[in-house]
Amino acid sequence: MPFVRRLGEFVRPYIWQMILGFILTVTLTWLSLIPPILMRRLIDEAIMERDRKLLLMLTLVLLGVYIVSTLVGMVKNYLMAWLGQKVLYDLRTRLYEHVAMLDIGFFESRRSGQIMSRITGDVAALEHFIVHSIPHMLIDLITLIGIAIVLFKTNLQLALIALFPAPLLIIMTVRYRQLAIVVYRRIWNVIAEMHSFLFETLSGIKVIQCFNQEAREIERFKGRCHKIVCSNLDAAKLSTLFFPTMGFISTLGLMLVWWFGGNRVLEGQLTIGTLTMFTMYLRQFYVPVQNLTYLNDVWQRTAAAAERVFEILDTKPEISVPKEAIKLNDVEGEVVFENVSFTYNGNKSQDNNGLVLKHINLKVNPGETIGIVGRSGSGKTTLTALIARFYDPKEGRILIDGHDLRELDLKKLREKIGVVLQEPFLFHGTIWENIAYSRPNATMEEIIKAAKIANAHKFILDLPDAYDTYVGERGTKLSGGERQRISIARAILRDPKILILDEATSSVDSESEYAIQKALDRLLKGRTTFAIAHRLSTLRNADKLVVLDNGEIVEMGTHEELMQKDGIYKRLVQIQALLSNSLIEEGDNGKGDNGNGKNQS
Amino acid sequence: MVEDLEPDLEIRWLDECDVRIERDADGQLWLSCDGQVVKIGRVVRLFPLTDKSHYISIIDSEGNEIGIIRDIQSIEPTSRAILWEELERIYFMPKITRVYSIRHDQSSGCIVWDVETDVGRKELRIASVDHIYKARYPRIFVVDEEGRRYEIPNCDALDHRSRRLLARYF
Repeated sequence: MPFVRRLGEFVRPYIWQMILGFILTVTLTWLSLIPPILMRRLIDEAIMERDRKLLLMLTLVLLGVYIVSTLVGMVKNYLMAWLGQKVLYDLRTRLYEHVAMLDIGFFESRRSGQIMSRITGDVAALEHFIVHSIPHMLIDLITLIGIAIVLFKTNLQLALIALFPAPLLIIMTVRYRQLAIVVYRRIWNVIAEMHSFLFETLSGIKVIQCFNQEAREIERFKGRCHKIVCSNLDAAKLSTLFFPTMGFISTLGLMLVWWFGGNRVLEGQLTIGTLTMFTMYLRQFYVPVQNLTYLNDVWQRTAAAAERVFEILDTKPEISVPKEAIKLNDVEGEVVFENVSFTYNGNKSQDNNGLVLKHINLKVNPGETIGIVGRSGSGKTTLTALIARFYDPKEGRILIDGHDLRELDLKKLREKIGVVLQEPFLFHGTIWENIAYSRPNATMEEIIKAAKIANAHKFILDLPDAYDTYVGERGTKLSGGERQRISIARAILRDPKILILDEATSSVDSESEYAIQKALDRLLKGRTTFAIAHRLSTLRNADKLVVLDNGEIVEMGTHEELMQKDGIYKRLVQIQALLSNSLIEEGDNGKGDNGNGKNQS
Repeated sequence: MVEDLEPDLEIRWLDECDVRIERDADGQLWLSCDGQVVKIGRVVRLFPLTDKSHYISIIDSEGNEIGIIRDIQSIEPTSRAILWEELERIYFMPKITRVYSIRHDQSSGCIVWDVETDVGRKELRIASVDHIYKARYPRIFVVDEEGRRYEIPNCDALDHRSRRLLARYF
């Protein structure tokens, strides 16, 4: 039971509330066992003996028991709900805190949906086990033992008759659980399938509409809904078959008690009160019998959920920071790669050694701009990811101002680095909240200033609520160029010494690119910059260009120097020049045709 | 294209000069600052929902920003009154004081709010719940299908029935 011990960690802060909850639970269970005994006395001693005083007294005692039960039940229910929410909160926040601190590699190896389901569904299953399943097990056990003791002590023969259907009930319940697990698992799967279908199609609705595939997707959706209907009907068939049958078996026990007990009453060997008490207890007895047969199932499901949750909690970040880490307050911005090689975990695709970067040696002086060029998959983004220490090199080291990155405080290091990505990510919130994300304590003036430098202030003024405008989920209410300028403003506000631009202008139109490029030129001043771009013209003014091929630096130098060589860079420049020339020629030809009034088509 | 670029990177803080705002007989606003007189094209609250009286951008008739007033209280009273009047006219937002009913219009998919506002009873047609902005609860903003904006200054201070009707959103 190692998972129970670990779950105990989350209950420990509330141990007194938990103990109180158990005391109330036990009290409530015992209170529920009192009324049948009182009923027996009420019938046998008060009604049969025509004792009005005793009748009044027993009725009042019964009333008292029910009032106390109700009050204790209320307190217990609220206490357990409170406890449940506290444990749920602690579990969830602890898991999220841990997940947020894990390195990028963890997220690359798992689907976001999977992590989300652990933080929501699995955690809720653990909370349910701690706060509901355990107390109910206790209630069921106490009820069973208590009733069995009373029944056997009162009348052994009748007790044996009363418990006659119990084994059948247990077998039926176990069988039901076996079949139900299969059916409910199928329901869970088809619902999960529908969720992922919806997520996929709603995110790609533009593609669906562009290709006129609405009807096809509707049919696919109907297919999934049909599966859900069929699975739910299977479950309904199962439950409509089993539950009434089990109800009948329980009633059978009751009938047997009425028959044998009734005969004993007629023979004068049993009182009516005792028979009534027996039937009342029997009604209470069969529910816990059925509940306890679920115990194994609950246990298995909880163990599986706990395994998934603790697997995340036990994952150690691969990026470790020494206890005595150096806290860099001021950074000049010198970056040195010393014989750096890198591979992603388990990646064997790049070459025999699986290396994505091979023996990189590079020295970048403070304030220099380095353009990184190369084909897709040559290792450009990986190179920049190592600077922010999203990964550690497998060989060699990276130095900032002479300090190995592995010796530095990670938080302080990342404070000095700004990143502008190809696809800027904006959070659902206002424009100013998104800009201030990099520095939450920034003043409004600083936010406006950053937006101005990023060429964003002017378009923000035209929005209905200016800086208070909600950008929508992921910034969907803004154009790609506008989103990018907001992300540049965010980087400016952070005032980083080292800047990484990963295809910052490649996903926007030429006009937006111009505005963004101007903003970037301002941002670059006085910062060490690593810029990745496929459009080589944007890197022309870089202090140094690094050409990567298959994870290796194959060329390095200024634009002019590299154009002297007959290498990859020159070839890439020529291809791009050829492409843009042919576009210009096509444009010119088009103009000429129009001018002549001819239509080639 | 060039219009998309910021013409001036430095922000001109207008409260640092002796700023005056006047309205001529045609209703045109004029700004004078350090001896320079500029025709005002429009005035913009940079934070119209979070801070109404700070960071007011003054834009000329060409669409270029002349400068920003940090705090409307910092300018002389007559100019302040003229500017405030203009801002209140532009950012006029009826206040919802009571909610009579909320229903879903199946034909259009809209949510229809029958409400009492400080300018009379209105029927607001709201495209979806996404147009009910509750991030600053209990202050709520609602934008109808035509882009008109309404405000509930304090949702908790509404009458019991209105609160009960709105409870589905909060």
